[in-house]
Amino acid sequence: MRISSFNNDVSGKNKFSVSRRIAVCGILTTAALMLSYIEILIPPFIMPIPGFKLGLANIVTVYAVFCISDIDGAAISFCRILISSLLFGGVMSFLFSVSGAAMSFLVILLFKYILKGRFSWIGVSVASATAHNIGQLISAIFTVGIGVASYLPWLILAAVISGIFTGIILCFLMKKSFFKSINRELHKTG
Amino acid sequence: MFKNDSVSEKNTNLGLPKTKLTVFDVILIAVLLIIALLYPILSAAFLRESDSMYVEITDTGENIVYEYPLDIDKNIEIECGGHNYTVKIENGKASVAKSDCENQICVKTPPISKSGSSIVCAAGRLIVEIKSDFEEKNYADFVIQ
Repeated sequence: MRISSFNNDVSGKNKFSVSRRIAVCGILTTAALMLSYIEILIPPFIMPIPGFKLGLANIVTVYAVFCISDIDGAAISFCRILISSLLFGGVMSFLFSVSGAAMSFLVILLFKYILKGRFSWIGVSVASATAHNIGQLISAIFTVGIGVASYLPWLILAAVISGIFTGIILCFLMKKSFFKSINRELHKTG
Repeated sequence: MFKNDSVSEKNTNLGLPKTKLTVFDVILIAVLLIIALLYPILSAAFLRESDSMYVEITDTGENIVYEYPLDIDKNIEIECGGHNYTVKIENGKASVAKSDCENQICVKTPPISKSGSSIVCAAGRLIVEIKSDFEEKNYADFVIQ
């Protein structure tokens, strides 16, 4: 499937126009928001580890940073957290999520620029999920106390499970010709 | 334009992560799991002091609080509410060894060792409680989005 009109700017140049950029970011933010809503719908008691979450919104963040741009990925992630905290959470959940997302973002950048070409989507999402959980743990240490650090092994285990899950979804999506063509278009325009 | 597209069609590598599991992924996951497995052992070596526990003996009648470390064996004689008690700390466990109160419930209570557990003698208003610097809060209760 070709998306021939995807890159046809008004000016006719091969440029990722501002309005198109806003539109793409908006769509991805909405997708991320829906994914975090779906996560809330999953009852917590079927989770094997307390506090475990699938981190489905991580799919969107990883995709946006790799395929669109760093700053857009950060913006999508931040907007998603802001809206989801306003709708479903509170101040605490906002602070926790921001510290997690910041760590996760830095690790995704590490994989994008320094460790590129070695890992698959699975490795990237496992690393970013782990970084997210560690970021949350750091803010928990500041708010609750050093005792929370003993929760680290469970958080790493949860991150590995959820990272493999979201990584498989990303691998599956990126094999689709739809995303392949979008990625090519985005890549050309930089 | 069209020609350009068909060229880039072949070029599937855009510097994006691979769509198949690589050796590096497996190494990364293995390293993370090893860290998770080894963490309890490492933290036991480093964090021992931070979760030290102590025995808190409270005379609720007079509002006097005594504190003793749980890891040093000791016999403590206390007079509280007109009764004499001997609190024994041994092998990281605290118990009331002797008491001259009537019902002897505090003596019959098995030794306590876990943070938060307590022995109470109602006759002399004595509370023996294990406390910890390491506040074991229920962190799973935090709502994390």
